[in-house]
Amino acid sequence: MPSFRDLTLFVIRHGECEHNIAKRAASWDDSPLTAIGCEQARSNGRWLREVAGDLSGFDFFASPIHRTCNTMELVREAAGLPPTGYRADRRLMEIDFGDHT
Amino acid sequence: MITLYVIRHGECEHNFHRRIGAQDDTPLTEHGRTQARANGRLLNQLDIDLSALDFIASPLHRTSVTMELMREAAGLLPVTAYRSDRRLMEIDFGDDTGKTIREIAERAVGGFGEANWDFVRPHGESVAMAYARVGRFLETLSRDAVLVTHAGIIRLIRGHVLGLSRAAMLDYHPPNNGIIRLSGDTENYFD
Repeated sequence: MPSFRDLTLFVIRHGECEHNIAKRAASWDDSPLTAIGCEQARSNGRWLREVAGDLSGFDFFASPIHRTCNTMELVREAAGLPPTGYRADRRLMEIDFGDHT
Repeated sequence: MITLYVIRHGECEHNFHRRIGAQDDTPLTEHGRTQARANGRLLNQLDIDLSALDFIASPLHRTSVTMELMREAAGLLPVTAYRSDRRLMEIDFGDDTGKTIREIAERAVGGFGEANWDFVRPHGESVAMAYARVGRFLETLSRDAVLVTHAGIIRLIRGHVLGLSRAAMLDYHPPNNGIIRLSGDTENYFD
């Protein structure tokens, strides 16, 4: 485990998606971002550019599920970065709710 | 009798580099996006009522993007009117995720093929475990469906529907383009 005293993490939740509105546990089953969710992601991108400044030294990771990747691409675009220059890592996926999904 | 239209995601970066993407995603290449759109046009040429079909994708990004580009090209709006089901995700390669296909194929233990059917990859799953979850998913279907999923899962779907042996199931390499139609014990491929 690296020392998180020396690392800065910016942790971002995916934008609002349809199962959030319906108050359901989507877990690994995805649902699309709503229009509000897309705007939340873009707003995070603008904020990131303002607060973090030079983003070139950062690693960008997303959960490989569709809603988080879509959020990442909207964030990066709004931050002035090419949308797909990030890595997807399965260990960032939501808790697997299995049959409770 | 249920008819399935089974589609693999378009070419993505790890396909291009001959690596195992498994559950770590990589973006579709431009070629992959073209393949997804071509499948949408192909769906329209199959002479079936697309509005009656269930559309289901693996929730990984590359399959969901393929589904949406395909639906857009087929004129099926909104493009997001489909379901996602985690049981269609690629086999979990665990610690072998990201390795090259050649590297894994050359292994004495934990390579590909029937002999490794029950091999549980460290922090991942075995083909047998994936075969069981794909079976549980197929049991939930109640009408004809379009499935957008991954090479490893397409092998297992064919195995369940066509009743194939493990060896026959695994000796199949679906391309990143085209549509496989499974109906009863009949299989057709369109591209």
